[in-house]
Amino acid sequence: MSAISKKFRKLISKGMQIPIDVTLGLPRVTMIGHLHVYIENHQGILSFTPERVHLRLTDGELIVVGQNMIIKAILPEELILEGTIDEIKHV
Amino acid sequence: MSKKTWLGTVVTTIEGEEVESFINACTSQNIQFMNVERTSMTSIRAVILIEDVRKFRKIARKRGLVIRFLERDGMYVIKERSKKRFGFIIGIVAFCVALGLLSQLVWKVDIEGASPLVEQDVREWAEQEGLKVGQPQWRLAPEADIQQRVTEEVEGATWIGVEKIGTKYQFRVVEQHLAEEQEQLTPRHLIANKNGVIQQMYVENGRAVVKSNDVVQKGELLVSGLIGREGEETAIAAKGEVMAETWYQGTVEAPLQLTGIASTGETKNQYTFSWNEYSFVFWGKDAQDEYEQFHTETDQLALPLGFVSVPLPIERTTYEQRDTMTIEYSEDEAIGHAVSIGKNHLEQQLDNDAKIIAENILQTQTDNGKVKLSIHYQVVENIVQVAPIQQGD
Repeated sequence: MSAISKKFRKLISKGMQIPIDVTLGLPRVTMIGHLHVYIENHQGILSFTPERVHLRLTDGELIVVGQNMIIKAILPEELILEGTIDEIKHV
Repeated sequence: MSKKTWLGTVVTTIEGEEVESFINACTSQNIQFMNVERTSMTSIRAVILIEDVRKFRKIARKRGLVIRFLERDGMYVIKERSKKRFGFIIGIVAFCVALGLLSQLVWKVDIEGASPLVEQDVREWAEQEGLKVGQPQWRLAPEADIQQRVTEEVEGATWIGVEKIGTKYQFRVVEQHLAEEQEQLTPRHLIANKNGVIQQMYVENGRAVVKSNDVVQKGELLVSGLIGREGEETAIAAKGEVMAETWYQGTVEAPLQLTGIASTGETKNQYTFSWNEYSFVFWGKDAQDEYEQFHTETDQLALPLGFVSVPLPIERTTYEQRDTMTIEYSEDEAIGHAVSIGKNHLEQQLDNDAKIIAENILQTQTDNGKVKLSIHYQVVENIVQVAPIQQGD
């Protein structure tokens, strides 16, 4: 995303009061206790083990660390992780 | 989230390098994964939709991965299974069809409120119309038509209602009660047909000559048919009821000992197979030697199947043991019997409205193994008898 486009989208987001994740395609991460993690706007899996899930985002990567994790469901833009979640890192 | 998972899902294992990028490739082609688990360093296990299997396999082959499909679930499985159990499905369908068809038959014809004679007529009419057990209902006319026609065509009924209740046809008959024709009565008196003491009188037409507690002799005038002022009487038909106490006397005998043949209750069955002229006993060959005295009954066995019964070529002969029995009565018992026999006899002779009000045993005699009673009865009955008035008297 070019810098101008980014600025324009931020402006629209501010002016029209639309959440920033919609206009900029940023990830939205929702946690339900330490049982579930919903990740919207992901860009694919980089690696996946029961202890560590590594995802690609529009800008950067997301690392989820936990135990006995499975991918409950995966759709083109949505992903649900289930297990015991210990840590979420945005890098 | 999940689209159409109920349509069918399949468990699959994927083995090979770079499984993650394979999943990414699949997701970008709109293949949905569920319950993705890592089973080893190089393999995962996931659930995918059956409708995606073709796309999924194509991508896997391109990347040189080994995929395996395990158990399936959902509608797809039911569909596949039902293909295998075709006979079962046919059975279900056939059952439903049979149930539907059978519920369209007539299973019962009920006639209500008719005397046996009219009921017979209605039943015959219905049978001739095809309205009988086992007939399909769709061949029959609507109830309203049946009702109209049966009311017109069956005599002896004023109105016959026809109603269909499920598989049953209900006829409700209202019978005709023709008003009794008023009999043309000729002028007459009422006289006594027995000696007695008058208890109660009810005079409809005429002039009462006697009153309650009067003693009347046989032939005495009770109600006169001549009414009006003396000298210019008109003769009418006297009508009425005179209840009077009358007396009867009779002798009855009852035995002290009764001998007869009766069943002991023991039976034995013999079964015979018979087809045309050929027959042989296949069960209970020695039945006739079993008892000294017996009574036999033979009937043909049949297999009941709904409203028809199919006769079987098997005859059953039942041997009933009989024995000569003697019953001894005490004198009191014999007297009791005699009294009830006497009462029955008398009741048979009397009219319906007569009532025995008292019975007295006058004499008891026992000889030759018999009890002989002489009984006196007091009865209240109608003693009216008609006596025509000779015109011109």
